[in-house]
Amino acid sequence: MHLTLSENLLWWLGIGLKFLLCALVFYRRLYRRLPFFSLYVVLLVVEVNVVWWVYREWGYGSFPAWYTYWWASAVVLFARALAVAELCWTSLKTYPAIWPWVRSLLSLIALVALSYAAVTAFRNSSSPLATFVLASERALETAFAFVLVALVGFGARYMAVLDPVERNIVIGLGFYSGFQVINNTFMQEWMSRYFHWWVSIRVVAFDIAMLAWIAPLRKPLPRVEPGPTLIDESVAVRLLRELLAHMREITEEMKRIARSK
Amino acid sequence: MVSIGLVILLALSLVLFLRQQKDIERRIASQRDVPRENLLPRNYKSFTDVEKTLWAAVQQQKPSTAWEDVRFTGQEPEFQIVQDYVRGVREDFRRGHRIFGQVIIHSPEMRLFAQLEWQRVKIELAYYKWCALACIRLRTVGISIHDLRQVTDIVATLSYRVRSMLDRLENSGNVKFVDSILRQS
Repeated sequence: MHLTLSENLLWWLGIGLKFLLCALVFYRRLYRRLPFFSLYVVLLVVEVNVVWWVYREWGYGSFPAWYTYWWASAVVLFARALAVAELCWTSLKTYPAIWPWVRSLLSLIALVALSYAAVTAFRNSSSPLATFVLASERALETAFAFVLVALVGFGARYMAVLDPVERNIVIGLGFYSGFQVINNTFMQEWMSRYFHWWVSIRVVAFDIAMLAWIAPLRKPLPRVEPGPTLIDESVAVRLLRELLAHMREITEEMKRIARSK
Repeated sequence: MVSIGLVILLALSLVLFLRQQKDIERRIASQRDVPRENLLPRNYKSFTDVEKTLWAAVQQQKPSTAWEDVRFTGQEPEFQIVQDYVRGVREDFRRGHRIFGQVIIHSPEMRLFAQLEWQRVKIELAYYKWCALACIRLRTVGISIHDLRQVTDIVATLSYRVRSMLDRLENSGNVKFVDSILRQS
């Protein structure tokens, strides 16, 4: 495969950004706060190096290159899924009723996406690995976009504001996932003849996402503000039950008054 | 094409929610030194005074008109009083709604949270229904004192619930929790 000068520049820019992001993650010690996102960033750098080395050793069209590319894509996709789950966990862990429910929902989404990918791969006997990765990516990117928007929406409704680092990670992941959903649709229907162009656009989208992640890491990370002081679980249950009963009583009383008028 | 529409919808929602989050951040920073009492809904309590002022103004201009039939439209001088009151009540609603949400989100049980959220949604629906009707009436016949009474009732109900929530929490010794809820709403 021969790349044009602009495509080469784009690839090198992407590689440079991956290294810069990885360095900033370690320099700012983001791994203490977001270990799975940090692992994802490390895997991006590892993926670039391993794939490049295999291409150089065995050639772009070889079997090892083919397998390495698809396995590396699968690992990075799995790491991205963990990073999305981690964002949900860091934002919702202080809400004892919400997090267990969200965790079950995320597991269900992952199960459905992987089952869909497995069934699609099973039907396609020529290249099950590539089909599995592509189908999982299609299903998971759509799910990521939904989950990330729902997370920010939840924060807006219940005043659970994301910190700048987490917010920029959500923006970057959401942008890339949204782009991938559109990209997959175009690729499937109209763009398969323009593979180079499609890959370049994908690289540009990912570079934009990385710039969003790099931006808050330029400065030292602000100290995480402690959330509202939590009340004792048994006290909270008793008080909220009392309140609910009180609200219902008042509603019934108001209905009774309205009927008697 | 469905997926493209879906992505556009998600992107717009993301932008909207992120803007809301920015607004929340700005508000939290701006109300750090605001007295505690001002962090609670309070404008709706001036309804009696507003009604008195409006009644006095109407009595001077149209003494023969029945009070309940009076409609306030944009052309009348006393409309400014109505507008200011509605603005204050809207602020009360937003404040009460936020505090309510902040308290119930700390519920340890999903079922309890859902039931309390349903109570909040019911008030929210009543309020937005009033807003929609008021918007139509402002463009047609004008707002009556009955409409103002209705929105006052909705906001007063919400405020009463919020106050009783906070009182119970404070009486059980969770003063710090209540304070952090008020500062972050």
